[in-house]
Amino acid sequence: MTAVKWGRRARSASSADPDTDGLVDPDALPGHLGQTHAPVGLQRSLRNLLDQYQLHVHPRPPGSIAVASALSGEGTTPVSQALARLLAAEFGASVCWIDGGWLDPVRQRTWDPSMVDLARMLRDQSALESAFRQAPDLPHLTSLRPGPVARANRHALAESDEFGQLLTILADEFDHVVLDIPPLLGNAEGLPLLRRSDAFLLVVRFRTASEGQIGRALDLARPVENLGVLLTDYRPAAPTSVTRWIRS
Amino acid sequence: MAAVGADLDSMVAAPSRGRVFWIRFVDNVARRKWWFVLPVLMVGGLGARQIQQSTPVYESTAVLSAAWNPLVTAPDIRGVTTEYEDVAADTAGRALYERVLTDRFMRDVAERAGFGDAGGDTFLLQLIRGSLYIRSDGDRLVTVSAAWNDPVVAQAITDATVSEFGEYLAETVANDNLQAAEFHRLVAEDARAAVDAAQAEYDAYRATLPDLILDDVSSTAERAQLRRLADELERAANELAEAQASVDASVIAARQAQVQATRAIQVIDEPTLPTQPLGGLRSDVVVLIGFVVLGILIAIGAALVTTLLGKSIVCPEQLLAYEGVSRVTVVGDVGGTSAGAGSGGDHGHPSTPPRPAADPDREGVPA
Repeated sequence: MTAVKWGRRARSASSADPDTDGLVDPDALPGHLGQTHAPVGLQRSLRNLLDQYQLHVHPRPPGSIAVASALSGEGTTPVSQALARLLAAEFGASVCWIDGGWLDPVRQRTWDPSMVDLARMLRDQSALESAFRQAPDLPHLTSLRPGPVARANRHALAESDEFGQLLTILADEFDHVVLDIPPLLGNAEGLPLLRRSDAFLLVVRFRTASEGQIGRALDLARPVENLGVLLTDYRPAAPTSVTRWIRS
Repeated sequence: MAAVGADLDSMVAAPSRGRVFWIRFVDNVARRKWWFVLPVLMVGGLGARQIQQSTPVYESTAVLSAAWNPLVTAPDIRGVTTEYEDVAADTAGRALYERVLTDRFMRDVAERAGFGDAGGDTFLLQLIRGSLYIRSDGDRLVTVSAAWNDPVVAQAITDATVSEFGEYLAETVANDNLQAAEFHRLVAEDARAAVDAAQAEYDAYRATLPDLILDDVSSTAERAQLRRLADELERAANELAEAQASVDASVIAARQAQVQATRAIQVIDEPTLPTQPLGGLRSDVVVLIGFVVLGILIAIGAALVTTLLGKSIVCPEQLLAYEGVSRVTVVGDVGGTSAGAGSGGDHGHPSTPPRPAADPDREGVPA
């Protein structure tokens, strides 16, 4: 793949009117960052997580962060989008959010087939540049959503050197890269993306995954540093005073 | 929904498994509280139904006074202490209990109590035996109680038991004397026969002699023979008198022993007709509480088992237990699934995310 200059050039290209380049209106795409309004609680939790990381590990958040879960339906997409938004808005960093849905067979059934697939992006720089979308309210925030890939090619594409170079370039061009990767259990295609990241954030939904499943997911991600675990949909039934007393 | 990270800031690393278990337990109980209340209500309802359907039991009680045990000869104890000697109430109660264990005694009790001929009905005898309760109170008092669902029958059983025991005592203590009287009666019969024989022999010899005045009997031998037969007759008569006296003495002794037996164990309180069944409101409440406690124990057991079997993540402490995980934060609904749009508002209203679509790739993911 030809080395190209990304970053500002890519962002400036994506700020053009998306209707003129023949692609589907990105506002109509589900999960577009411009349409995502992260709940205040989610922002607060992610901020708390990053604060703890900065306090105890490193003053700067990791360059590339993979947001993963053990099972599907845990809410990795809104969490990864909120994380990207948080890094862009509050840390003032340039962030690229990459959707790993092209590795997820479930999401691929709901996608528009006119979207540019990753293989084409890796071959054609103009196609790659057109795939970037900038958040209208945050100029530092950019999203990249590759289109569907044939099942037989997914793993090879994820393991390919070209894709690795793309991630490297993105990591150089952006302060942070946030990857939304498919569930770790039952889908091995997400592991190459996870292992190319500097750290990963595990999303666990309350009362969904079992302890064994979480353990296996953590074992699969073991070489990669754990940024933290986000427990979502947390709705304990026990009175807070009782649990607080037990914890004390 | 606001994040609860503040709670996590105070958490220590590596929480104890016990603490995690109790957090999970409390969450499980709070989440399924009505499922755990259900067994308490059901078992409590069973208890109430049990109370409602239970047959009232009436108890009739008689109190006996035992001065001494007429069946046991008082030991001749001189110069030693008598610390371990049984008191009269204990021995009398034990004697009565031993009689109750015999079917012969229970048949007599059943017949006297109005059950008719219960000789072959061992089940009925066992029921009547089970209804009796005997205990000693102090040194002299023995309490005999019978419980039945009919107050009249309860009184009859108690009365029959006390009466039959009294008759048994009377028969037992007089038995030796009665046997002695029978023996002496047989001796008296033999003696009477001997008297009759002697009389007959005397009369027969006297009839062979001429009509003479005894002093005029010419032969000394005839006079001696007559005197000898008279002596024989007198001796037989004396033996008869002695035997008769022995019979009378034995009968008197038997009657005396019977009187003493009745004095040894006397009825102080006759068995009364009960008007109120056993238990009452207090007993019903105790039974109901017992059932409710049983229901609570079942509910607690079910809660413990379901908590132990549950393996899902219900508290952040479970995640901190994994190696490599040192930061955990919680949040309410983040909105949407990995396949859908985020739908949470800025005001943080949690929205129930749609259920994830069936993922064939997920099949086979071990639980």
